[in-house]
Amino acid sequence: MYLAIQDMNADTTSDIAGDSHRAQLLKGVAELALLRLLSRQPQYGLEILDQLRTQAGLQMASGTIYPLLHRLERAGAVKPDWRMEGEAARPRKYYAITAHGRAQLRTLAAEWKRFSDALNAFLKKE
Amino acid sequence: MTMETRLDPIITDYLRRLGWALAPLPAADAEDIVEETRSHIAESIVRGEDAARVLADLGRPEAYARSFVGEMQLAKAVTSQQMPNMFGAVVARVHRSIAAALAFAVVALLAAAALAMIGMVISKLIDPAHTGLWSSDSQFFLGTITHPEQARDLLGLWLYPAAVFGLLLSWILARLVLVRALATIVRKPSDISASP
Repeated sequence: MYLAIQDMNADTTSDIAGDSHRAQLLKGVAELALLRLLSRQPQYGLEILDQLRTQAGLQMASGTIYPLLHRLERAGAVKPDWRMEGEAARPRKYYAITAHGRAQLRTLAAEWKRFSDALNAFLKKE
Repeated sequence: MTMETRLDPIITDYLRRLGWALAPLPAADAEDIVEETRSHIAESIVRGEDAARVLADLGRPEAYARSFVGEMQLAKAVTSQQMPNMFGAVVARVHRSIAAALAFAVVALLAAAALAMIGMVISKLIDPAHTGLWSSDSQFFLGTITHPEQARDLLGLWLYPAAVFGLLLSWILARLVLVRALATIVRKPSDISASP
């Protein structure tokens, strides 16, 4: 039982073609939405989760968003900044998009557009 | 005092286990992740969320830590392109990735072949008369034979450069397989779902 839970949490559940393509797509979408969100203004984790949920319709577990932020931080796409704000009880880690992150956002957005245009055209076809 | 005293014991326990599980990361990174997690949990609770649910959403501390640690090892392997790092990253995923399992099998085979070639070179140095790539009427044999007069050695001293070439080739192939496997693994799934 323990093993099953562990496996569900494992980062690479499977590399089998179909699964991995869908997951790859979702992963790209999460990254795209996240970078877009941060391109408007710096945000901290909890706020990012909320806004991705309410604005982008992406239901992400907090256990997924923080590792993603960490990866983007190491890749230099986002830059962290711990801030102590007036009403908060403890400091919050804010993430701001970098120039590199903006370039990545443009690439991902263009890829997404190409993909969704093609798929929409395909779906509309009789 | 701080919020700390008001945090539920299950939370302090969670953070402690997370800290342990993050040990493979540089200390500053691990500390940063624990602090951010602490901040996330505390703030969620201030908003009125249930502590157990907040922790469940993060996942078990060991699994949660693994997504940071695994990501870092993978990134290190991919950027450094060092054989030990790449091999380590592949081995760590053998049980949950087909690409890693395949790469591991191929690299193991190549390593066995390389070892055999090194064995041949040593054998040739010790016993040059009986070691070689032997050809008789119907078969080839690479290794040591007892009656060299019954067969022809196709390689002779060329065995040395041939072994060097073979070793290089195995090394290059192993590298190629690891790089390809890691490229596949990097495009890994993450568990999100679009809301209806």
